[in-house]
Amino acid sequence: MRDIIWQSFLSSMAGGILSLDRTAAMQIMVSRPLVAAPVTGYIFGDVMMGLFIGLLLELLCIGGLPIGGHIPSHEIMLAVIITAVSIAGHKVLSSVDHAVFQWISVDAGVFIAAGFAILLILPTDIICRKVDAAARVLNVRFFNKVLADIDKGVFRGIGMNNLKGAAVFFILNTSLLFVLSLTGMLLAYMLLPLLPAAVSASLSLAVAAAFIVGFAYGYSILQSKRSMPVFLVATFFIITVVVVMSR
Amino acid sequence: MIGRFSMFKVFLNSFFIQSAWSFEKMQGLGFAAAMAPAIKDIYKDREQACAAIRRHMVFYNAHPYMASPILGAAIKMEEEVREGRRDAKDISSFKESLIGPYGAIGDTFFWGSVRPLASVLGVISALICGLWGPVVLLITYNLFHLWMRWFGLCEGYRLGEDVVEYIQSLRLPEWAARIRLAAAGLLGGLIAIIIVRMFKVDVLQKMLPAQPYHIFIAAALLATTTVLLSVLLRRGLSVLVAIYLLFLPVSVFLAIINIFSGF
Repeated sequence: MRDIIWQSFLSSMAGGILSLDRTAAMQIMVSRPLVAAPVTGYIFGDVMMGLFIGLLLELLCIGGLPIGGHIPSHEIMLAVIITAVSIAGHKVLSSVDHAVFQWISVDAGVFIAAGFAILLILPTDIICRKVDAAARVLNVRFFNKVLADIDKGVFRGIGMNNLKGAAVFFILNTSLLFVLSLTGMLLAYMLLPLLPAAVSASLSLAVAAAFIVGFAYGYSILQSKRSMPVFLVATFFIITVVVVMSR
Repeated sequence: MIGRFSMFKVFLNSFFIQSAWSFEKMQGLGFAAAMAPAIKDIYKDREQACAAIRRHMVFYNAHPYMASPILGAAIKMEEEVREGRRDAKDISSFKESLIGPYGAIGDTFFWGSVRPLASVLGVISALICGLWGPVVLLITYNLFHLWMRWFGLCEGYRLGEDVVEYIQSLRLPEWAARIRLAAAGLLGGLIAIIIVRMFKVDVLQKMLPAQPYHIFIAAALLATTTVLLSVLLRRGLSVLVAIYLLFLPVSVFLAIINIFSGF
């Protein structure tokens, strides 16, 4: 239990720092799931699981344009929490025998745990977005403070007040990450061993569903008049090349 | 002329232009904070400096990277105001006039084109080279991003108001269309790679000995599903609902079959 709390704390701190990249600072894309999830995976001792979750969520969050006041899916929060829950779930499943998956040469536990995490955590995106919106409401006080200072002839503190806005994002995101990742991991430890084998096995279908939706979402973002032929030609050209080369 | 060090501080501050993003003033404080080192350099008198920074403490919202050319131009215009060659109101009207267009150009180019391209390239690289995937994403994206941050700022400062023509000459909307097309092709390539890997790693071979036409059928099915589902997503179906809609019927069906087959 102490390990879970400590790892949740570490991952929420790392996630809180990386989450600044989303809006408050830099925007060099370290907040993208493909980057943030492996970092979380490293903290939990399973980088490859993090990479797997990262590439899946990267597709699911490929759109989400932060235009004007619109707040898109909180990809970094989802990446950190889903990775944490997946790794916890995978640890639980490693002690459970899933005979139904013996025909698959890959570790079935990865898919089941990832499917469980996706289905459990994706709906919490709405909470993450509400918290993000709360930070943006709170931040106006720093603007008003600087304005009042300038009217009094005080020039100093503009940069510092600006950075306080980033601190608000950090504190809110880190706190929420800690609560949600800890809750998610505890649920994984409690629920996964109780599920019947057929139900557990079907959870892996959520990963397949997420991949298909990720492709479709990516395509919907990139859709234009000429995208369909380019998309289809690329798909079949690569498959033809691989099939011809493998003969 | 402002000093090189001040210019570099403006460049660094431009990375924090959204730190105090608020619904009411959006990037207003961030823009003023980014301008602060230059204002300090231009106006030695504190009252003048306060009046100058007060001009920038207003609502402002554009794409964060496209703020760099505006920042550069605003610095140049502040210098001209100090020298008495320009009215201070010009700066506000210049900024206001570019909020909409530069926001739209930046959103289309960076969020709508470069980011999906970097994402798809990153995912393909992750599938092929593992942990190089995130590195590829970061390098691809930041080549475009840092170029706009630095050269946008420098060109803005060099050209002043004329930076508008410079940005126009870059033809970013046309490049955005090309990049999106390339990303669509790469997405097709990604689907092909996943199909090939699925068969190669023996996921289905024990159920279905893979013949070449099996791979083509699988690719055709996945590509068709992708295109059809994208229509629904464009019409407002959320990603979350789409996953549940795909997952639930199949899993319930499989669970029922498993229960009745005595598994």
